[in-house]
Amino acid sequence: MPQFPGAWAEIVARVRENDDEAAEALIQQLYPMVLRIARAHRPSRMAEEDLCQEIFLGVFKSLGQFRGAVPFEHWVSRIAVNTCIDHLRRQRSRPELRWADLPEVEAQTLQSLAADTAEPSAEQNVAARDLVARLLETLDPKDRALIQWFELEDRTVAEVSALTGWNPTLVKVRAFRARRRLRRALDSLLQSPTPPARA
Amino acid sequence: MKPFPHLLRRLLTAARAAADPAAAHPFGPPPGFTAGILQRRRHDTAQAEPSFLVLLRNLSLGAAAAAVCVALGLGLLLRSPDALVGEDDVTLQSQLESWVTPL
Repeated sequence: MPQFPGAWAEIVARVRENDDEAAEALIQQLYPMVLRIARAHRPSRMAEEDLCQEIFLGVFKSLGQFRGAVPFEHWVSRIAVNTCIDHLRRQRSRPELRWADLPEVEAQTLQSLAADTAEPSAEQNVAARDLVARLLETLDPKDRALIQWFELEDRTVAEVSALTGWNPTLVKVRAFRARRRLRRALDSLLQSPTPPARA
Repeated sequence: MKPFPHLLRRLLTAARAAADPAAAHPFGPPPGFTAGILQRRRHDTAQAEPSFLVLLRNLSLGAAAAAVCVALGLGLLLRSPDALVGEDDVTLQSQLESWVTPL
């Protein structure tokens, strides 16, 4: 089996030999990171616990291929991100969003944000979060992930590069395109033919 | 309405403000989670082994069948080497004989 330096070497070697205790320790230590990724990139119809389970099973399945070229946490995070993107692809993306699709609170929040510069209330923040989630559902899973990392989690290019394994230039290009598509999605919502009847 | 990029910026800022702080620092796995994964891992390993054995058995069967075919072919050949002489060869042989006889 290939060896690699670092704190994970021993635990990974033991997991490869089907040591349940080591596997349990691996799950315990990596669960917070995996859960964060699963929560941020979970398809709406999938429970986050199921997604985490899929991710860990993927980690165990591929463990024999880990060569230590990147830190173990990064390798796991790439499996987590790819698992989420695969599941998002299987879930048919929502067609473009229209005013008529929005619950009242989200429509009002969007109008309020557009109309004044006052700080939104806590309730409006929650509505904005849900509305952004709806908009993201109209995007390609990779675009969605990039918006999540850069716009909602304030990640740096280096961090996203480590998370995904994409080189920094590719990350920047993809992020630029993802932002452009998000702008188009919101634009199309604002110009949708169904008027905001509740206004 | 305000220009579009500004609205998008406000929307994203508001969405970020609503992020659940507990979500950023989750605790360990829920009860039964780890046991469930380990059980599924054992199950997957157990499922994987028979399929490997089946593949091995199929390969062995294939190799055995090929060996029997080769042996049968060789046996036939050794018992009747004339079978190797084709119709064309027989015609050619009789033609040669017909030319040689007058000489």
